[in-house]
Amino acid sequence: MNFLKKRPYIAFMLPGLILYTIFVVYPMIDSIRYSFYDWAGVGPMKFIGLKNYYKLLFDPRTSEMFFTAFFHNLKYIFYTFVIITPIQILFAYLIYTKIKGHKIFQLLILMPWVIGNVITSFFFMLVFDGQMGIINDVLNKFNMQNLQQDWFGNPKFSFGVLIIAATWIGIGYGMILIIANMKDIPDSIIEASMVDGASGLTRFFKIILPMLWPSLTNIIVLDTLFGLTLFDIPYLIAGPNGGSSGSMDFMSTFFYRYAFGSSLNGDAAFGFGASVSVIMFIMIFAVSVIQRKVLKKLEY
Amino acid sequence: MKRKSKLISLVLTVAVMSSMFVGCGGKNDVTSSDTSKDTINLTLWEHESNYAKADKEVIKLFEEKHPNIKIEVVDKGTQYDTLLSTAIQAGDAPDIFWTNGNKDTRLSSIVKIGGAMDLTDKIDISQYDPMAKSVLYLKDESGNKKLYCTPGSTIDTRAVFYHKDIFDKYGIKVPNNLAEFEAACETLKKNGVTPITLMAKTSWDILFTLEPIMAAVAPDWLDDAAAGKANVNDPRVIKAFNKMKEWMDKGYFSANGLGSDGNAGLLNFSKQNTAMIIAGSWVVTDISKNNPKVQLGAFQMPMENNGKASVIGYSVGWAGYAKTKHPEEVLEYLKFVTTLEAQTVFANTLNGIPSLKGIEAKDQITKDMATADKRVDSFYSIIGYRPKDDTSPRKLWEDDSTKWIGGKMTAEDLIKEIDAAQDYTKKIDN
Repeated sequence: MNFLKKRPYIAFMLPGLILYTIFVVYPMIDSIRYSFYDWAGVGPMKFIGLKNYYKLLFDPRTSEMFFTAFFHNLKYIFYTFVIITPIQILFAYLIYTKIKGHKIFQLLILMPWVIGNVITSFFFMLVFDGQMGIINDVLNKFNMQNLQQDWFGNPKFSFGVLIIAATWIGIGYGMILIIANMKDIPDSIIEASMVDGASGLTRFFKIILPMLWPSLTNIIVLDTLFGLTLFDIPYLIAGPNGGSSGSMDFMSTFFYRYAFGSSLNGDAAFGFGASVSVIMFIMIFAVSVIQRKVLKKLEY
Repeated sequence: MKRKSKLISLVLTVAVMSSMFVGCGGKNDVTSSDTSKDTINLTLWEHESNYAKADKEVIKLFEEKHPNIKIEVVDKGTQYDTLLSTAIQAGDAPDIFWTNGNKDTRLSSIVKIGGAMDLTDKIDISQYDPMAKSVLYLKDESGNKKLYCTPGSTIDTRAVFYHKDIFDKYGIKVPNNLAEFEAACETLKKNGVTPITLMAKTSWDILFTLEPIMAAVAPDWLDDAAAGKANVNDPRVIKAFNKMKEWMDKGYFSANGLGSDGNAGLLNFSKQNTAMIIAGSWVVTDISKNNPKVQLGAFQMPMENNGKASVIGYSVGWAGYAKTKHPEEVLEYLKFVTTLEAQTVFANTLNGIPSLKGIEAKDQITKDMATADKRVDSFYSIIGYRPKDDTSPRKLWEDDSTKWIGGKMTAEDLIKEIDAAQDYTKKIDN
């Protein structure tokens, strides 16, 4: 009792920790066990050792699909840093500088994030569908049929459309973090720069942007995690098979269709799915460690 | 004051902790049956909304005859298989559940852990077609056929659905052979009408369009392969695959359909953006919902040498949970669903082609879908009859069919890949 009295925080943490261990940590550890079995999720489990891992990493067909999916995850993260993050910074700056109508602007930017990925992805399907979509419909009405595309069906465009969807959905949360960081910048520094004659652009690039490092670090780490575990947007837009020619196949959609099987006559393979999740965990852990080291070096 | 604030903190902590257990399921969860007074409540899990609707009609009849038994239908949707596996593993499964029989391995997995009620010699299915019964039986360790599910009421097929008013406008009659079908497509094209909706986002969308084309172009291969007399890597199969690509190149299919799924495709057709759509027989209700004014007709794909070929698959019914608290009542229901009376109601509600003789299709569309000179097995079923151990030819189709239709893989390569996953030394047990 004395122990808890001196450390009351343990009493507060303990119930949540116990539940977290039972419902999150234990299943994670148990999934490592499943990965050594051939198991359909129901029925007998057959111990097969490392066969699932061999199939995932060395079988020519399966490994090619898995590493292609991993490459798509990395590609997605790259586009996130190159496209989404600069847009987040730009929009955050516009709202920070209180442009006319900034409150409505902020609301509109946050709306897709608040509505949620599922509804927003569904909306994107309605907009970009090759036959029923609004984009092709509008192009048709303006006699621009030559610009109509099979946005999801053509691998040249499908990944780009996915990035557009992700951009529209993902700007909000990062923008909020950056705005909060911008508001933390002391006014005295900004005023001093104005007194020194710094232009808006100079102020932005030389003062504000460098001071956004804390929020940008968070965004980079979160975006990397989201990018490596992305599931809902490609699943809804492209289906569990990764869309046209697998152009929108990601590690999570690969895991899903192998672990749970298809919706019709498919065979579930929980054991194989568990091996995919273990390898994904190792890959995500490795990427996170490398990223942490790089970010620490860049910090000043 | 300190004591009071400690007491308040303790009460709040307990309240917060209790809220975490709310989601852990309970007696209100509709998986467990219960009895109130003399009424026995059972639960039936269904995998699809149209089926659930038909179940309710059958249950109405059943409850009239058995007023002390109430059955609640729960539609579990696209996550049905995962939810059922979890429920059975947890020992909390519904009393009755839809199943796919031996068409996949899920029922046999459930049987292996003692999850399904043994119905062998308990249900009379003598009036059913041998093909309808062939999708039901599982073999035990001694190789004996055992029954764990009821037959389904309907035959699933694929058909060509068309807008009658568009056909009438351009003087097109329902074609009797493949040449007439292609001529009809040319007429529509010349008049600025896209002949057929393409939906090719998933392997299922592609399959349900390809199979009728294969039935028209290579019906003899389908017969031979179903009997174990032909390999997958056969020129007739390549011809069928290439026929679909040929029609895409000729512009018979709508442009920009590779990324459209079944729902988008059906909407596209319902809005009369195209004259025809090749799809499963179960889409009739969806088309009517999309456009109540649609003047819908249907026909089976005509073969090269006259006559129509129909790709069929017999549906499967329901199984009983082995650990149900009311095995007699569950068995009573399962016996009832195999009767002509129940099957008639189910088939008519579903607008499905009845699988049992003696049931007349209710409407003209269903009769048209059922009109065929030849019934053939499904390509997808056939490629899965004799898989090599540790391979799944059906999974190969699911993974690579979009690559073929998108031009990243040739038909020859896809067919060779599926062929390589076959074990032709195995016998087909139909």
